[in-house]
Amino acid sequence: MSCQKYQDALVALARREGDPRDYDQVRAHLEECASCRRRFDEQQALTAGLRALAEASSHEHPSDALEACLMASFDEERTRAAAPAATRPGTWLRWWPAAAAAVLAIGAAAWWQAARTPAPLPAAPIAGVIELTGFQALPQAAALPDFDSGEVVRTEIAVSALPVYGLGILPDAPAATVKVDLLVGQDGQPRAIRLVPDESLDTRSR
Amino acid sequence: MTLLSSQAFASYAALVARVAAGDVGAFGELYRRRRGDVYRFALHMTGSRAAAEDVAQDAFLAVMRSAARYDASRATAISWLCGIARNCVRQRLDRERPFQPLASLAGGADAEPAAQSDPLGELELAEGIERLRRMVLSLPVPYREAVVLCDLQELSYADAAAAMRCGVGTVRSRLHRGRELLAAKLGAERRQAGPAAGRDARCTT
Repeated sequence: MSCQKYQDALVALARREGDPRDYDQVRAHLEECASCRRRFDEQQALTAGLRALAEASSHEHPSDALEACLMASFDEERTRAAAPAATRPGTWLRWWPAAAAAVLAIGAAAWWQAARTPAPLPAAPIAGVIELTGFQALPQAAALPDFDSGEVVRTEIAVSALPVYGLGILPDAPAATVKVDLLVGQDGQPRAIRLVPDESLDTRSR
Repeated sequence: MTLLSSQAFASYAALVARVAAGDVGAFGELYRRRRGDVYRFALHMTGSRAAAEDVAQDAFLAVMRSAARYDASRATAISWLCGIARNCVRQRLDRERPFQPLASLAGGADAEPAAQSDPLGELELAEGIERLRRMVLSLPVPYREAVVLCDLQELSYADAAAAMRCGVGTVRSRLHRGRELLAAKLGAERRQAGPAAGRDARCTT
């Protein structure tokens, strides 16, 4: 009789899996096969050793400091998740310097582009989201006067600054910056934004 | 790890749902109930208390951030938690390979003092356990995971399979292979200890 067919059952029996009555055939084999009997004894000894190891480790726990740290983290996460973006004073204050710098840079780039390109684009009044092109009106643009012409300026901004432009942060962004197209009016003020199409995956408007 | 009834599984699923909803009390309860399992799993996998503490922290941070994605129809809360801990351990092992286990855990500064009733027997037992702990640590990671989850954490094959993201058959074969390797190491050690010990070990029928 081949011993091979008993190998799995032998380990299962040594681990005391299932109903002992399921192993009558294996026990009978062990009575007549010294090789399998030796292997079974080794596995039984191993089971006892592993149980002793598990028992010896049963008092092991992480430190109390970890619990305090995790509870504080949970509280912080919960507060952050619960607070709407507009009511988070810390958030806006944190973004403001970056936003101001970005707007200044964009304005300067737009002015330079406008000075270099004499022929303006056809009039393109902005009203909310421009669905055909994927542009989204900037929150700041609502306070600006209408404009007759403008142009698209491609630039790179920090992922963390996206909320300033009314876009959600990209949690899976591969880099700290993303390329965006800005629709800049002839007055040098940006009116709308879109992520460069191949980087616009998983974009969420707020 | 104690075996849980289906009612207990359901209560764990409810606990995770409450964590997802931002219930700090539920998170604390989940942490206190399962911290030992996560920590000990990491300890057996890494051999280091510091690493185990880091893994426990990473795992529970991941729990608070991904509780909303937990799907009770796909895995029990326990296997989900073990799966998260396994990912954290794997990341750490990949980052810090080869990992050097610290000095004997049994003799660590914060280990509980051993009972003094039979000092020699206790010492031999402690040494045997420590040797086995090192043998487990020396197993290849896939076999080590199966041995730790099934034999040390006492997860069912199904729960271990969910945690390891593989089939039950794969868990069983990895566990058996891991146990064979351990038995071979124990046998080799016994033979090295002396011919008499080796002869005793072989004459079992």
